[in-house]
Amino acid sequence: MKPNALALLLALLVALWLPGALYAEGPYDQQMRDIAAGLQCPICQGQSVLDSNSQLATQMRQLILEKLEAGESKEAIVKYLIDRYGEGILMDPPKRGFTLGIWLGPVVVLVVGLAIVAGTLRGRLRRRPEGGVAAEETAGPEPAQYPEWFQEELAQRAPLGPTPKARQEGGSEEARGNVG
Amino acid sequence: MTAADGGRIFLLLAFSFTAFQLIATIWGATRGLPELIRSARNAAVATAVAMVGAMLALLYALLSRDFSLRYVAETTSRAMPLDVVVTSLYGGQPGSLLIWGTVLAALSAVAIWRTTIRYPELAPYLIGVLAALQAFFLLVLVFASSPFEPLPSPVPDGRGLNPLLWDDGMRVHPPLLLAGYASFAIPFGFAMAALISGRLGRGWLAATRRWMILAWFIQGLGLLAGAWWAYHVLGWGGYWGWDPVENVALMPWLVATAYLHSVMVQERRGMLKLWTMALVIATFVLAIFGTFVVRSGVLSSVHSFAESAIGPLFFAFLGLVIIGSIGLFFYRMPVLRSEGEFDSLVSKEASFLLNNLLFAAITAATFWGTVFPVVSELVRGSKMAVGPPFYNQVNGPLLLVMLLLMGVGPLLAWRHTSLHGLWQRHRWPILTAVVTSLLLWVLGMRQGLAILAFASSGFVAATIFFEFWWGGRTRHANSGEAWPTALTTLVSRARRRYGGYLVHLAMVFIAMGAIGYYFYRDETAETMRPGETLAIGRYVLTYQQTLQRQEPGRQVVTSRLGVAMDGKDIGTVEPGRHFIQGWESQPTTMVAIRTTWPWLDDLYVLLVSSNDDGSATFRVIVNPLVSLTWVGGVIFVLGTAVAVWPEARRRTVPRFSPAQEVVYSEA
Repeated sequence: MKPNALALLLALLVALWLPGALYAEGPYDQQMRDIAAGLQCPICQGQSVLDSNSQLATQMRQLILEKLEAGESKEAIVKYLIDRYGEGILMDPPKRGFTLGIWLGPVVVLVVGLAIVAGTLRGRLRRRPEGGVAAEETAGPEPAQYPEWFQEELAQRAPLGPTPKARQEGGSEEARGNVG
Repeated sequence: MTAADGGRIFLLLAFSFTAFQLIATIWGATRGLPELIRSARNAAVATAVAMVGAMLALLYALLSRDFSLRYVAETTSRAMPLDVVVTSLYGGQPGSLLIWGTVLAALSAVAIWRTTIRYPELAPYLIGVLAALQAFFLLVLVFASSPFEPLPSPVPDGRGLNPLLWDDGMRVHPPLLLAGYASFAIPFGFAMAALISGRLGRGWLAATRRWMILAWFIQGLGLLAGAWWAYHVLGWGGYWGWDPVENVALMPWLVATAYLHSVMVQERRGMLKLWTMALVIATFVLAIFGTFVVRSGVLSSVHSFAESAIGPLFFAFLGLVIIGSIGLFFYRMPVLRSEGEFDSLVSKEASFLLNNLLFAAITAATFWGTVFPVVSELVRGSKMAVGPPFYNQVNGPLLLVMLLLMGVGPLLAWRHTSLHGLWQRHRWPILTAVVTSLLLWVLGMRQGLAILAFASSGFVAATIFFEFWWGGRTRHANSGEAWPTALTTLVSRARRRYGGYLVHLAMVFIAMGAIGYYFYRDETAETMRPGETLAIGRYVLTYQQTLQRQEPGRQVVTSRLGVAMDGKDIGTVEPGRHFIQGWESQPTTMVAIRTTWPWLDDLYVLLVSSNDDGSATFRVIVNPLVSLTWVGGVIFVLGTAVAVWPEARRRTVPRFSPAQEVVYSEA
């Protein structure tokens, strides 16, 4: 249940309590919105049946509402619409059959990417001599030493860096990185 | 002679200049004739001037409503106000391509001019590559999709643009995105020049990085402006819908962001060279893909692609770019050896590696989701929709990890950071995250993921804050400078670092907007009569009245609703609808957005319809925190400005002696 379902319920109660609230939110409107939000408007790219202002989407919302009022379940209505418009109407492609491919794609990329990164790191780390890390360790400084750390970091930059004089003057990263 | 004739002449001139540029630079480079290279450089400038001339000619034709031209007839009408007609420049395919080509020509001219001065060794190759790219766009503009194509006979009035596009936002985001796409060509040009010449030292890297930041910035602005426009004008209640057109604009930006991070590793440690090069290539390929997708209609359907005149042309161009750049890439692969090695898993290098993996994965997922409908159509013959749920489920977690990494990565040292040091620098941010979570819990928030996401935002914001705080404090203590001066000096000494932090802060704001929108969006719709009320969350809206008024060329209907928050009156909102003459069947909505204080909810009110009996239907959405997105946009601009702001009167220190570079080209 959405966090603000309570608020909606409240809204509903207020609306029902108001005398003569002819146009108040119907009991099925929330369900209708839930269903419509999960469906792609067949004629307008990228918008859901709920968000689209097109005539077809308006009719579909009406149709969903009528079916809900007739007592049909959400599943039955969605199935009816899939039969009519094809599986393409679902915003969320089902995680089975052909459309499973779309979900698997990113997983495969991520796994392969991780494997490459891990391989790179392992290969390179293994080639390091024993105890090398300790010898070369340039652990970060305490916060209090920050500016000194920066200066040191800057000074360590490329052997092709500016002259020692410029370095003393605190030539910034920008001055050095920015030849282009 | 009409403006259209002028435009055609300008395009032909530009085409000749570009052809000359290409031939002169190849000839000059192979024969060693510097005069010819100089001449080619001048031709690049002449091309830019001719392109601007062609664009002005088209603008004139549009403003003077020259309905003997197909493009003018399709994108303007007499009813369109003059200031809207300017947007017709990019209201159709030929005009957009003309802008693309003009931006490319202008940036090429600047890049080439600077390069002939700073890296003369690289110049001939850069001139050649950029001329080849320019030549393609001119070929399309002259032969396949000319904005100056005449109609068989002039028409009395044009069709005009859809009124949805008659908006201020339209004046900003399409040209920005077109310029962004085009400007990715410059870093690509430098990369190709470096690959062809074999001068793969640090010279091309610095030039590429500088131009990539520019392109990345323009594209980023274009994306933000597009989101703003979707939110304030399109009226569907959101600002990012993972729509194909949005996705293809986002992808080059994502890859460019990955590049801007990995290039630091290359500059600093001489590692990841192959990867960085691959990212530059991928950025441009995706930029071309984006242009091509938007303009050829390939994603709306395979069939519309086949019918589109430029579809196959672009496809061939894309193929050539990919094959050419990948060929060069493999040819020079031995030279792009890594100079450094990874020392530790807990290091800045390793965090950048993870950062790049995440960017690559998000881009791949977005690409897959974008092209999957076409794959589905090809394989099964039926289109398949891929909507926001897919992207939210796949990219959402990746983005969350990225957010966390944004807090950890910047505080890691190069080579190796001890776990103790890691803890030292992160204990306050971690405390911030814990306090944030507890506070949210106490305030009644119960969704674990949302709390985690907000706590991560707090964590990152705290790391950024402490970076400024610690640096400023030490500077203040050591130099005795006042706080503002201390901070300014700190930032000006390391602009890239602190500019980068500001951009990170911008991303935190944008993330918070997205988190609020994703987890706590609420909406309702109701038909009401005057005096009736609607309640949503802490707000109660009272429908007061609907007014109609006639404006030149359109009818405007507005409804007024009183808004109360927590029982207290906070003013009114006035959503409305426009019925533009000739487009009555497609009224445009005027969204009323009210950002409330202190909850930062956007009360987003739409007038769905108004009926004769005085009742009206409203759709009311509460979008928490979305306004932070635009705050993030402003910080994004500031941060980038800090990072690239030129040093005042800095001396140019030549860092790359030609002698040093020769080693690379012979390697």
